[in-house]
Amino acid sequence: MNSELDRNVQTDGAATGADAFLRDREDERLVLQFLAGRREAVGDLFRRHRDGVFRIAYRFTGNRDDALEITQDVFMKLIEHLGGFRQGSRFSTWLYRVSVNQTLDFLRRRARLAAAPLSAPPARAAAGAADPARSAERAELRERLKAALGKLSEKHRTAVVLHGVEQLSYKEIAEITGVSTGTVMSRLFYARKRLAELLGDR
Amino acid sequence: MNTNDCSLIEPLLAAYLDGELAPAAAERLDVHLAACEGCRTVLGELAEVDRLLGDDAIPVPTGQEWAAVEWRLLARTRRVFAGRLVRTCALAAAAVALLGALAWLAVRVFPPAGTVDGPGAYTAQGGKTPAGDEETLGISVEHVERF
Repeated sequence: MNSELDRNVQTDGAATGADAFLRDREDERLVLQFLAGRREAVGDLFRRHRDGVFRIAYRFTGNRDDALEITQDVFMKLIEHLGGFRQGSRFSTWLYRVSVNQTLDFLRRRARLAAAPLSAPPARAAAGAADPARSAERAELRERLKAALGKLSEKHRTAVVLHGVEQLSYKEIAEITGVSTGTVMSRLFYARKRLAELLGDR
Repeated sequence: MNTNDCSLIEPLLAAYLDGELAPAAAERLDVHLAACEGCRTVLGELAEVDRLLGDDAIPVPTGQEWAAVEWRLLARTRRVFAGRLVRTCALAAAAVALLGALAWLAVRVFPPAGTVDGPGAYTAQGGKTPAGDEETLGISVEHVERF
């Protein structure tokens, strides 16, 4: 079934343009600098990728402070294991894989994979949310989404988060999760179909 | 792709929505969608989920929070680098010690030809040089005589 789906997916990912290429080369240069002993390269890598890692962690946990803690843990891990990074592969793919694994470990450790989004304290109000009615509407949507995402399987939630939050291509998600693009397509369909059902149940 | 079988077509709808479908498959799906209200409804539901996810803004940590994390990362980096330096020095010292031991052993087992010219050893003319400190030279007269 998935090999059938594979044939229907575009073979080139969305992020294979010149910008992505230049970003990858810069990441690679910073990794090499770090391995050569330039400590500040970690700060550069952190500033380039912290937002993406944070967004993934937040979408999984639904909690701002947890997401910040996970982001720190991911980069701490990076310092320890950057020597194992395989040259020629994409740093962002490697980092997102570490981010997903670290986040899932975090959730398992706290044994609240299903309950976390519901029990999480309310996130701080986003800047510019001055209208109380609009703010309440957003808060309600956030709670509904957290509850719905919390009911998805880890695999489906991972696909939705990577695609929905970071706009990663199917090819990139396939590389990060170690499955075929057909499987990514299938997971993204069934995950969103399930979310539609869950969000439809008021 | 059978363009009339909705159960086979549905899994392609997400990729269609995401622009990830191969052009030929997308064209066939266009044809199916034009005629199938059920699949159009499913496609609309998927698009609504995307819209809701997009509407839910993700909070952003403050500059101070990021700076605090970065400070901790750099502190950890310093410790990791210091640890590496200690390990490298220890390895280098061990390597030098090992090489020294091997060199000493090699001299004991396979004495260089020139060594017998030292004090207390036999000269080329058959005489004997003045006795020296056999231990520090590493080669004794008896050792040479055995050969």
